[in-house]
Amino acid sequence: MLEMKNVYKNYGTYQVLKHVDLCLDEGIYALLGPNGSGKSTLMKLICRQLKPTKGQILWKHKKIDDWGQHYFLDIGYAPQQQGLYEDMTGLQFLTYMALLKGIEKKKLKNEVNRVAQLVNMDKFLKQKCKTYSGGMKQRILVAQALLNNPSLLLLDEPTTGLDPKERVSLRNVLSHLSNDHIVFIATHVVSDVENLAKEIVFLKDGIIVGKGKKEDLLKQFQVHCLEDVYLKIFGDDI
Amino acid sequence: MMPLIKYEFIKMRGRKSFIVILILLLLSQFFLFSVSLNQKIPLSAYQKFHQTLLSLPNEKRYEFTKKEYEKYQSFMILEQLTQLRQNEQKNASIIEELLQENPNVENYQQEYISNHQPQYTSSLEQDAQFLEMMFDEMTQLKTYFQYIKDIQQQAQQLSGISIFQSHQNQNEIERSAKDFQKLTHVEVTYDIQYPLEMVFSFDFTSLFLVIIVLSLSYYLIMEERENGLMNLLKLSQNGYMKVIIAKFIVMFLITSIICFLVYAGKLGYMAWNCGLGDLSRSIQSMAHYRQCPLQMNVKQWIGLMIGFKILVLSLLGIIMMNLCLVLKNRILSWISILVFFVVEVFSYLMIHPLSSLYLLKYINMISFLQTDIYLKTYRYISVFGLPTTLYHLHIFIIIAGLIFGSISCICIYVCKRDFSLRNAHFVFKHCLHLSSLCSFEFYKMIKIQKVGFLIILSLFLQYYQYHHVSVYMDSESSIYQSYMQYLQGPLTDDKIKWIEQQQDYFDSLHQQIEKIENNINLTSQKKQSLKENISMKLIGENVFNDVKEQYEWIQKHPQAEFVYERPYEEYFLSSSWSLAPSLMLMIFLSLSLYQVINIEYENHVNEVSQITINGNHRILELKIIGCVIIIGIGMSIFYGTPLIFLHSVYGFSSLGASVISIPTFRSLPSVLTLGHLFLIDGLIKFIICMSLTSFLLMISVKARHTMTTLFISLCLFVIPLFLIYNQIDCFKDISFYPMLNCIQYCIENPILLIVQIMISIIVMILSLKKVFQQYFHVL
Repeated sequence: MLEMKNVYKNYGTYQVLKHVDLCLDEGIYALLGPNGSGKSTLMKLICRQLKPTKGQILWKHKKIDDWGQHYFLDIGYAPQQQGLYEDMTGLQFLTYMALLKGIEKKKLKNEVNRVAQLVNMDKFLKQKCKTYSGGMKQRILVAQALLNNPSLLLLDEPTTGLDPKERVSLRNVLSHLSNDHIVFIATHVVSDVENLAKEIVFLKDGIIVGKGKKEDLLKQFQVHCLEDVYLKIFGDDI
Repeated sequence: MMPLIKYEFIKMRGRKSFIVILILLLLSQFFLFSVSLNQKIPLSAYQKFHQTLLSLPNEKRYEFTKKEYEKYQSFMILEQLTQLRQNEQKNASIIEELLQENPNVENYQQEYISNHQPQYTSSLEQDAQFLEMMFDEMTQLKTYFQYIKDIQQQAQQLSGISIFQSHQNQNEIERSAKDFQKLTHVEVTYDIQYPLEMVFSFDFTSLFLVIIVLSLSYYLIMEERENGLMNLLKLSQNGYMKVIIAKFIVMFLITSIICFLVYAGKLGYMAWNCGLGDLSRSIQSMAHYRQCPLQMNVKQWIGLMIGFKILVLSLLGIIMMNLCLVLKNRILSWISILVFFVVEVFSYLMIHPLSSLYLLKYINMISFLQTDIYLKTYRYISVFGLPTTLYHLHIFIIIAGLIFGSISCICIYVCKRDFSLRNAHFVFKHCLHLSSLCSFEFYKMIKIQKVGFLIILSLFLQYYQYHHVSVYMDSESSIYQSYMQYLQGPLTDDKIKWIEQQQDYFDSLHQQIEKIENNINLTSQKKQSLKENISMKLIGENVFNDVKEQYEWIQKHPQAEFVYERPYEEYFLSSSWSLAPSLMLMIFLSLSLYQVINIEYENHVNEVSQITINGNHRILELKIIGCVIIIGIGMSIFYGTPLIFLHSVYGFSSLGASVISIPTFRSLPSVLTLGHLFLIDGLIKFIICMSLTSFLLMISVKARHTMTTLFISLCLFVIPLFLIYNQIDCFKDISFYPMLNCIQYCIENPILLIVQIMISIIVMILSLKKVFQQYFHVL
């Protein structure tokens, strides 16, 4: 279980996140918000790439800093930025990431093939990353996040650059993971998550302005679809 | 148009790989240039000779050169005679033959005995070679007007011969006579041509400029094609044609700037080291330009050479731009230009000037690039029956090429609809199998960060630097080496006996001289002649005195041995064997290591790698181990080569002997052996390299920006040594130079060396600590 208690994050005097309280257990969670609402910052706080200015983040009831390096065994993260070694092949990149994640050498090949198949990249693994399209790069990043079957999967804008077929494929993969994993997806594309997420969190200017199941939110905002909820919350910003 | 040009410049500035290639090639060419200058005759010789010429009036310069040349040629023969006379009975016939062939040698015997130190270089042989070259040049200048006269006479003679009666032949003969007729009033100044000639004839500069211009053109076009922006640009109002024109202009401007900087740098370097001479002198005052029919001074000639180079390189740039526009594949554009060059080189080398295909030899990129050759060669070529000088033909072809190339570029750009690139889907079936973090880090360093390429380049540079070097030993040094080769090792009874015999031999020679002086029956002339003969045998005595001095020292200090000290003194004390390798090592380390940490920041891979169990300490440890290995490789390449070279020339023997066996090392503790000195030298050099590397890694984690790291590292590591290399000695004590020349400082200033070692270790520890803290820095 991942818990965030009264989390604040400031960059100098600018408050990016304010009073964030969240509790995530197994299932898929969507973090919806427009650009600049603090989604990526929240993801980075969970990944320990940033430190909260105030508040606590707990993993399995223990502060994430107290887990030391072992915390990283439990998480998989696909960042928004498509960072790859351009001169490596997809296979080399995934193998490298698998080694960084401490996967045993004898399991390397199977694990890399498994995640590559999940994102339909197994046919392109021998090409250099610089020859990949944006969508292919995104799939490789998701694949590396899936390596070692992490309990907590953090995906920041995972559908960027994917074609409709790939989006559906990714949704299927994620829905299979929902039973025994926590999957936290940050996005501003409502359709990507509306039928997938167990709970949806709306983030506006660093503050959680709404959260709950899809049905509850529709009732609360008295609308027929999630996109209307989004428009009601962020309508002023659009 | 101006804003478009500005943005093209900004785009080029952002191409890091181009900037790195540019820096690397410019540094390499400058290094090769400076190495090639000192390979045979040191630049200081030219400077000294040039200064002497300047102090003389123009009409006396030839006579002076002639006298100097004759003197040193005679010294060389006397040197030979001295060595032969060490075994006079065996070599009697050769000695006689030499004396008969060179009767004037006797005139210089007295001068040779009193002082035969080399005046311009470090050895008599080099002095003689150098003066021979200078004398040849001056003779060509002296005979210049005779040469013009000969051309006129030849023209008259040839025009009367029946086989040259055709209209074309008559025209060519008349034209040659006319071209040179106007040069009869040219003023010839006797001065050296070497500095200017070297600046423009050094082939590596052309090669590197070609690579730079090809890369520049490639980046200018492929930038947009790679990003798919070319199609987008064409849709805009200005993008239709102005963009491609802006690209031409930027290519031309950058080529001009680089070309100008390269040649200005080289000219400045030569002016600083040996002077360029009077720039207002006529071009015919450079001996190798006697065939040049152009009436201009050296200053104008320099401008013309640089101008030609810019035009030729621009033409090449336009050819590459055409290829980049036409071809759909990045690699194919490089392969095409390579094939083009192979064909051009083949045509240039294989086609004979008299063959029917001779035009392909002259209308050729290799021929165009050799600007210095076609300006100094007077040649008429028949182009479809029309006689044209090589010089005019080249100008015409280059300008026509520029115009047609530009038009073709514009046409392709305007007419072509699809500029998307076809990715080279090369499937690496035998893809390198990497299965450990260690092998991945090694792969990233060698392949992705191009350290492998740097290692190969370094090996090539080292080979190039040393394979031409020859060490000359004068007669005294040769005698000393033979003495020491016999004596080396601990003192034994046999060696004592040999020393005593040798002492007796020299004493007997002195007695003979005394006897001759006291002999009243001999004429003074005869006395002089006999004494000179014996004096020649006494030349080895000075050297023997050094041996005796060592012998006396060993008697007082039993732990000392006979050691041939020259290789040790050269390697540990002479800056010529340590400074250039150190400078090269620093450039190598800066360029190899500036990306080690930044590669993750640049690619944003750190965002995923740092949240893995091995992505923190483990990866950093591996990076540091990688750095240590690269330092080891760099040190082996740059310090190992001079070591191997000196060993092959002199031989490092007696490694187990105490350091006090060598006179210059006597201030060091006697417990140290010569082998220990190598270990200490290597260790201290390693400490400073490690300290600098740690500092570089710290800059990387602080700056998190590749180019900033590269810039700071070049400023900190390379510039101090570069300044010292150029004899700005005030930087010696305040830079890390003492640690790179540690044995010398061990002797001369051990306190400074100890302080520097302490500071280096502290810097290394603090930097590494900072690296470990900052690499996982959480904001």
